[in-house]
Amino acid sequence: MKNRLRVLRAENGWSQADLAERLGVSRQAVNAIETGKHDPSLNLAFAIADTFGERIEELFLHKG
Amino acid sequence: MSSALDRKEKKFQVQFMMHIAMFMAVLAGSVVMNETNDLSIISKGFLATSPVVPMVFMLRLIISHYRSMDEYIQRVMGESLLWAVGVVGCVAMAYGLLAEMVEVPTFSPAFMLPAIAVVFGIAQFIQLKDETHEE
Repeated sequence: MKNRLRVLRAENGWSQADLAERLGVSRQAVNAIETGKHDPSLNLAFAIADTFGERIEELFLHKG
Repeated sequence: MSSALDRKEKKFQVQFMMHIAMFMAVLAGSVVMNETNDLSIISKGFLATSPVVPMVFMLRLIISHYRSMDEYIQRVMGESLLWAVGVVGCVAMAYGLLAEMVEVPTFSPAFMLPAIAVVFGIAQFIQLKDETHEE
């Protein structure tokens, strides 16, 4: 699953650690999601979308 | 790691070290008592197995810590545990089969848990090594 996490994080001027703090997860988890190593659970995906004020389908794109 | 998780991790490390200290104390106590007293078979059996008790408490601590981790770290820990159990199990099985045919030194099964812990640590390190630095 592709995502726009890194772009949105950069736009907000947040480090991975900053975003991890806001989401209550480890920085490694943010890194793994950004690099596509880990697909987040629905709960975490919604939390990420809420943090950026985006709709979940605008943030995560299914490769098909 | 976020500061809340960082605090949680530090608390876990302190508790973990306390459990290790408890294990070492019970182990030392059981060895000393066994060597300085003439005990019955039942007492010797109790003393010999008593260090397992702090290990059970440590297992509870680790499971509780696992539950508090985020989903990605849980996945890494789960995969690392599978590697650890799989590698140690396969090596033990290979060694056991070898022992059926060839004269080899015997090893105490007490070393199984420490061996699993070591391989678990290595597997976790390998899985997280690329994520040490922020991209």
